[in-house]
Amino acid sequence: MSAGAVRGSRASGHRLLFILLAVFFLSLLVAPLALMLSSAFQRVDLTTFQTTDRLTLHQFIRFFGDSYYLELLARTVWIATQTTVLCLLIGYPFALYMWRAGPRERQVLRLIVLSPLLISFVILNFGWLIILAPQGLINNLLLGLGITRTRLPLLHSEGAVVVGLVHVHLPFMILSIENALETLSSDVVKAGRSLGADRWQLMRNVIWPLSIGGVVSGSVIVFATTASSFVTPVLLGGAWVKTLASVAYQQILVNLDMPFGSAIAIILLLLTAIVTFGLVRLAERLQPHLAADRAARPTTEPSA
Amino acid sequence: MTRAVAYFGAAFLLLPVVVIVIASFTEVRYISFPPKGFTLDWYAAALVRREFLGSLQLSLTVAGISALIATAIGTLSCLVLRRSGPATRAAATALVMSPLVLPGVVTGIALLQFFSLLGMNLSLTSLVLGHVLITVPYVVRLVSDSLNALPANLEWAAASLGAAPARAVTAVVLPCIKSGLIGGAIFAFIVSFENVTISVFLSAPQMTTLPVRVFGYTDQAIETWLVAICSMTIFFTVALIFAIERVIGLQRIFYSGKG
Repeated sequence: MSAGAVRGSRASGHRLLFILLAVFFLSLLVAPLALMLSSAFQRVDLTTFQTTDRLTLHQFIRFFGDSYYLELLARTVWIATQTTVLCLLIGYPFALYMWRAGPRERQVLRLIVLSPLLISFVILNFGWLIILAPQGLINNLLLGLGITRTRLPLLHSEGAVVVGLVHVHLPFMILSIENALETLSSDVVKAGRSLGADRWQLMRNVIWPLSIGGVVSGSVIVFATTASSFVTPVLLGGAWVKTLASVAYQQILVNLDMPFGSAIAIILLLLTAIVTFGLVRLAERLQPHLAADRAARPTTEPSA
Repeated sequence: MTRAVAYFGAAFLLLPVVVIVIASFTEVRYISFPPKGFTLDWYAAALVRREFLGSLQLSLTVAGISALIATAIGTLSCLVLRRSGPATRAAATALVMSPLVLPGVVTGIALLQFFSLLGMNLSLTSLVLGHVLITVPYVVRLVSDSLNALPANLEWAAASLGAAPARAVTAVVLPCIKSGLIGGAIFAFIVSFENVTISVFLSAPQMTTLPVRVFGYTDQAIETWLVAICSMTIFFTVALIFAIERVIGLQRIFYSGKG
């Protein structure tokens, strides 16, 4: 170890700092998470707030035994899936265009992509509130153009939540796909072209396979953060569109049921972990060139 | 084709922000779009709302303190890990960066229980601790990026010229990573200032940050002064974005390698 070669005082100062920082992160990150995990296995009397049971599966049985919560889980997965797919459908062509654009245009587009990340998404969702409200942009536009005769109830619907979520998460998808495209050497594209590939073949056989890594990491980020969002569902979905995270939030801050809230948070973590794992495995299968690096060369080459 | 999608996407990303700013100038009391007339009255009305000014002050305080602490802790972590073995570095980096992948609702719930177990009342301290945790990763990303650009033996060179270890860092290393430090601090400030998922769990009712306050108001009939408050927050953030762009370049924050 390099630190060992340094003078003693320097090494011990280094070690002391290391320990202090480790204590900080372990006590503020690991300890709270461990506490939350243990809390999920407890049971609290909600009239006296006394812990009645220290090690029980009660909260999980309560969740998985109730069709209301199972539907909640399904709706959360559904909303997150719709958001991820929409982000991908807009984000991929967007990133592709940005990647090919000239330096000036690329810079402007990047700034536009980055800007929502720096504004609180309460504020961003608030913008959608004005757009979707009964007196809002869309309703007034449709009425003005004579397309509709009554004001549509656009707010407080699953659609409103998905639109709000797509807006907040699109930048993550675009950034991660563009990041992957950036690492794609222009020589590879030139090589493909010199071998006679047309635009479509180039896209299908060169650019797409080499950008799958970015697509997957973008999808993982978007799915995980959407599945655990509660601010947007509360703001744009109102009382009608509930998600796992918004119910966890409610259990903790309104019902003061810490164990149940913790259990839901853990189910949420597991859900995102499973989806992440699944998507990463999918990416491995979709990227034969990476698999070829790892395993022995496959005997059956796909005919190019 | 891709051009059409890109322009649509860009318009989609900007629309809500533009709508808020435009809607804040309407003369109508309840939110509506398009606006009728032009007035700055709602800005005046917003500025006399005590609870919002209090929240704004709290948000600025929390963001300022968190940014300072996060920058110090993040930079120290980078400097310490620069001299650790690769295995330690990988494990420690994963731990420090983990708040980026942990859902905010999970971190928030975990911290809330932790603080209440310690008997800590929700206060400025709990808010700042939570915010430090989630802003450190951004500092680490930027600072380690700047550090990686330095030659590995820079400190040794300083030491061989007779600089004590602490002096080698303050006189040689820190000036070299200045842009990363400042960028990290500004970014930590913004992330803290805009955060709602952690703050909502760590704010006491009488002590709420601005985004949490706005979040709490939106289940009532929304009046235009609230739009003016959102609009002012947007102006403030835009000003900060320009500051970052000048100091370090916004893109480096997101387009840096995985460090």
